[in-house]
Amino acid sequence: MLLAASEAVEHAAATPVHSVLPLLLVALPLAGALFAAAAGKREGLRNLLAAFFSLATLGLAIVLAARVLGGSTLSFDFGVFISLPGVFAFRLEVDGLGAVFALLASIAWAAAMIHLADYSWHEERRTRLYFWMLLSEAMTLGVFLAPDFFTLYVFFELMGLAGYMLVVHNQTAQARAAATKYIYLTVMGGLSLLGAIFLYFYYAGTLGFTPVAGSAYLEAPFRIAAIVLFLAGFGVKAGMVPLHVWLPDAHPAAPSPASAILSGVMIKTGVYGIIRVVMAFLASAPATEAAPAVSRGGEAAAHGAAAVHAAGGISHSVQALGFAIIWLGILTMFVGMALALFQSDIKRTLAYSSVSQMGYILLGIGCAGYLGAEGAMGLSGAIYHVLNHGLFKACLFLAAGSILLRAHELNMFKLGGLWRRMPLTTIFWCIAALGIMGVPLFNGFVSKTLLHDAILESGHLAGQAGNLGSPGWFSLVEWIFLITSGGTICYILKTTWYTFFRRPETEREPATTERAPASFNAAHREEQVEHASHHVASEAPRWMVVAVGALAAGVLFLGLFPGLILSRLVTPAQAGFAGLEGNVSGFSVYTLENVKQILLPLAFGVGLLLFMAGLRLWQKRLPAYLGADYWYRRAGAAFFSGLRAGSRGMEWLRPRLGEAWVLAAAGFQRAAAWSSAAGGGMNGAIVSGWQAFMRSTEAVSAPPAQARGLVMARGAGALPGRVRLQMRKLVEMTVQGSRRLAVAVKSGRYADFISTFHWDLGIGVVGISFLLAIMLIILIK
Amino acid sequence: METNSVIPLIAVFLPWLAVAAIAFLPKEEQRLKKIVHVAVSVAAFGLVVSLLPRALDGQAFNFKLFSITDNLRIALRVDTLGYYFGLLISFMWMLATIYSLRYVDHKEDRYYGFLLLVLSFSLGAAFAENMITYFIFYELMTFGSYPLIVHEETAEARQAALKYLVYAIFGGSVLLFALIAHFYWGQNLSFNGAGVLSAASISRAALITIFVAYLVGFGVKASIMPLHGWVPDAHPAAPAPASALLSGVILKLGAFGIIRVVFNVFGVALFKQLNLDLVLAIVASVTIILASIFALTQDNLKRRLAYSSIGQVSYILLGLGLLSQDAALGGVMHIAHHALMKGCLFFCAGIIIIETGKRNISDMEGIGFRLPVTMLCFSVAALAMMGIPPSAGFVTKWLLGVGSLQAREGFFIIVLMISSLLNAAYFLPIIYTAFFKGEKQPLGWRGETSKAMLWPTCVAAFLVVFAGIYITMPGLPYSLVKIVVRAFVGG
Repeated sequence: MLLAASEAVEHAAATPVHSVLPLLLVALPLAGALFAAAAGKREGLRNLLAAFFSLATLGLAIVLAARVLGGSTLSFDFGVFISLPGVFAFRLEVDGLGAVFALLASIAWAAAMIHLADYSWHEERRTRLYFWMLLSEAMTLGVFLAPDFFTLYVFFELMGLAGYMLVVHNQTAQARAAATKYIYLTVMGGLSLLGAIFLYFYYAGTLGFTPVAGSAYLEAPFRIAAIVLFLAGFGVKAGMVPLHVWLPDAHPAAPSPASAILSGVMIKTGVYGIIRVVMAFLASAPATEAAPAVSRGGEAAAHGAAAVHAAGGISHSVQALGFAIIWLGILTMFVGMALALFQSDIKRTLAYSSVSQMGYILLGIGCAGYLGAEGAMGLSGAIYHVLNHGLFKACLFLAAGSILLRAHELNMFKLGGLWRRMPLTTIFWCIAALGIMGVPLFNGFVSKTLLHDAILESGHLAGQAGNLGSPGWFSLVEWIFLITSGGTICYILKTTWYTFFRRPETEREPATTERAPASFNAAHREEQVEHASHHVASEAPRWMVVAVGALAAGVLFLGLFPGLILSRLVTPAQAGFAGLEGNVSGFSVYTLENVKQILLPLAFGVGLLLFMAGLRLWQKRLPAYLGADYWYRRAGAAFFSGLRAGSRGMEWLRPRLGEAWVLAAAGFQRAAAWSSAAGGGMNGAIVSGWQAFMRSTEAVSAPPAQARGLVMARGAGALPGRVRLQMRKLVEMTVQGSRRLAVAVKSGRYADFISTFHWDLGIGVVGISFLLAIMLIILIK
Repeated sequence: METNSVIPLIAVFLPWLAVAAIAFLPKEEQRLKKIVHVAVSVAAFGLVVSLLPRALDGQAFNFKLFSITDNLRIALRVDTLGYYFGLLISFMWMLATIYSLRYVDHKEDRYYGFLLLVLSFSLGAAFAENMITYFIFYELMTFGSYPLIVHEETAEARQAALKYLVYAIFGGSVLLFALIAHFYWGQNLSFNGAGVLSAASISRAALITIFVAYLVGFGVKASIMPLHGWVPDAHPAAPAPASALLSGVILKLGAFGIIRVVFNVFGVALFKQLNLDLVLAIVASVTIILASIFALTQDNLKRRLAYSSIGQVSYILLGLGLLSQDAALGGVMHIAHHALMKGCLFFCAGIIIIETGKRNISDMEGIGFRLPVTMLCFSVAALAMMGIPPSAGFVTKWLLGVGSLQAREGFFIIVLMISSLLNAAYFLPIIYTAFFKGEKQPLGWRGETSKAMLWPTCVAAFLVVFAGIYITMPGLPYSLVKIVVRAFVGG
């Protein structure tokens, strides 16, 4: 037991090699963004620069991946930048998992940038699009190259903002609404992620992906809070149900190449984060005790009751986390699939499909957590599916972009017969479609087989004593998995059929047109005629075909050589995880038993397709209140109407408060008038006293006519003339003011007094006397 | 390490040169006078900066003016905390003075005279050696800033300025009471030392009385709810540079007073022992949340920014209330970080008013194209306020978040999160309206606005980001505040 643990520690602590490669990988697309922006209106140069920089990034990513998957860890330290001693430090460090994700990202981006070279003419504000595309590539790569949650968070937030610019790009009302929803969910996700990182940092004792051994992180309340926040934060980005609501709006709203990378790569950052969290957990439990029941269930008793109890607590929590993620994944995959069935817009279908496919990946991660040390099957399935989904979804979105460019239409029910006009695009689309359907020889089959096996393994484990769940639960999981796979086949076949192979409406007899969906009215038909005759002219432009074809080739490659990918990419990607034993590099995919697994979903999918097409169910809508979005909107509206009610209340209160003041003032006035009338008034007395005093001085010193001036002159004889004048003015003003005050008090007309009073002067006098009073107090003291 | 230095004294009284220039130069020499004003504000900043190397070594600079009695003196002592604040004050004032050159177009003599007088008083408060010196400069600053708020002389401005005075005089009276109580019981008003009051010689009730009086007295300036009433009126009424200084410095003088009370008068140990830290943290949290909610409903841009300031100043007090090492670090650093961010935002609001005359957010559709650099700066500062990395606001938020766990009060993370979310809810629509709403317009890069207004805005925006990247650079907040926190909180 000890031996195994120390081995794991040694494994994890392979010394990182200092290298500028990770920095270059982030800096290249960043430089590309700046160059593209600088090239600006020289469009040819700009497109060339963008393509060059994204291809250079791809080349660099291959070099980096080759080195990292060969067994070394590359790191780059930014030194003083974005670091606080003892709090956080900004660094890049690539391990196997990060390298594989970075490789996928740079492939998808390179394809999208090449596609964009021809596609961008379709768009306005092209330079802006180029700039943000390349900037978001830099930030996404940064997420994958981060060695700790801090660096990851920095890149994650910046990527979220860059994503906003991609979603809002068209600035149509629809795009703006989608982008607003996107940004609020991104901000919320970012905040819960930040909260999770605080908790992780404090209780795990580090920001790195492996908690310090024996840290307080393993105590229940903080850990659960941290995990819930982590799942929420990364789940928003990953499109996890019920936080997926932004995704089906945002991805179709973006320009197609941007949708390709949004769906192909950027949502994978969420998945990447969840893998890191689960693995952090797994690593924090001693390797051999993580899942005692799997291999040494029988031996467990021999280790002594106390040890088993402690270890069991930890392993149980990893298992609970995995179990929760499995159900979130199942929910996500099923909901995404069910909603994708009812879409008519190609890109919206693909977006819901992305939600569903994220569910597959989450399911794999969940199984990895559930299986603990033996979770390589689940994790491999998840990573493999990440690669697959990145390739085929990017390919499908780019192909959708080609369709939009040529046919000016994305509603599949208004399209048709494209295979004749766009044969290459059709072929590549079909390859990617076969990939997502999970047909043997295409990549989706491999990952779905791995995931299916992971479910079976988990079900087997659940059958043993001391584990969460029961085999029954897992057979339910398996059934939903198979049904979802069937549904995926159904909606992909539907999209492919309506878009590419069905005879277009214009070529048919009028009688058959009536069989089209209900929304298909006369006005649309005319548009369709115009489209068909003018726009659906030819194959997509050259570079678009190249980009789509390259991704389709990837789909084929990953389907044909699963052994190579498993042993060279997927297994080394897991090398850095302490606590994970075993691997699946020797797993043989193409066995008869595995291939047979496709038959059931295939039959179900085709059956469902025929059933729904026959009953024309495509246009059916579920009631809004079944969706999470409806309730979020209701909650938001309630908050804001509460706010409005609150401010209305304030508005109501303000004049009434004012009235209260007026009443109080009136009461004061009456009291003053009464006192003034009754006793002559103190103010009146003072004023009369002052006047009497003045009169007496006048009487003593000189004839009344010049009295006041003379008194002043004598009293202040030594002062220069200007000062004397000022002093006299001051005295006169004071006298006048007191007189007016007396008049006001007697007559009860404060308003006159207040409006004529020299406020500036009065306040100055008050302020100075205030200071003098302090001095006086201090001196007396 | 103590040294005697006359430089702080010169820095404090240098701005009077500008007053002299106004008094003695003929009325026609407006240009020369403006040169003097800018030169004076730059020179004051330069003087303060010249102390930086020694301040980074933790040195304190003394200059005794005169004694009233044996244990009561008017004196300057620039410790690291005071130096940090003085550096910020002189820097913000330099930006605001340059910005004012184009913004202020009537009654310039009065405006600049009081602007630079208030600089003098604020620096004096920052450099004060004891509470009586602080109090005198603080009150002078209070009355000196009245002409700045009333400057526009509209009915609205008069109302707002009157309200300001009523609040300020109330706060000043309470503060005077606190001062007297402090002196009566504590016999020592000095800031020199970590806590001059002790529970051994003073009763618990007296200590709490002193603290609450200080909290209320300074709370009017620090705009703790419900003492905040003047802030949302005064900010929209004042000229933009004055609003920037109100939010950036003058509100902070209240918060700075509370910091002095906690660190120097009570001392961290006594403060915690009396459970006053929790009181402060809760008061600050309530203010943070309520102010953010109020900000949501405002359509006037400067009013919204003012409510935002009310909330943000309470971040400082929250850090002080949590009082763990990182929280105190974050709270005290937020003084400068918020000054930069909010200064930048108010400068932008001023440019919008000057160039387009628009004050309401709902009128600002597509303004990002008319004023691209301005709105870019605005976006940077607004995102920083939301705590997007890398930025000054992010550093503060991180430190406060970690600090609240260090203090074993994780609840306050929720306050931070809700506040950030509300920040996003009231800042993002402004950026959205400016850039993505309305017709597409040609960019107005050239002749956007005058350089005198644009440059200070850009400098502030640059520093907002730079202070989040090279956080530890000597002279930026962290380098100074860490010395302070090490001295008073430990760690």
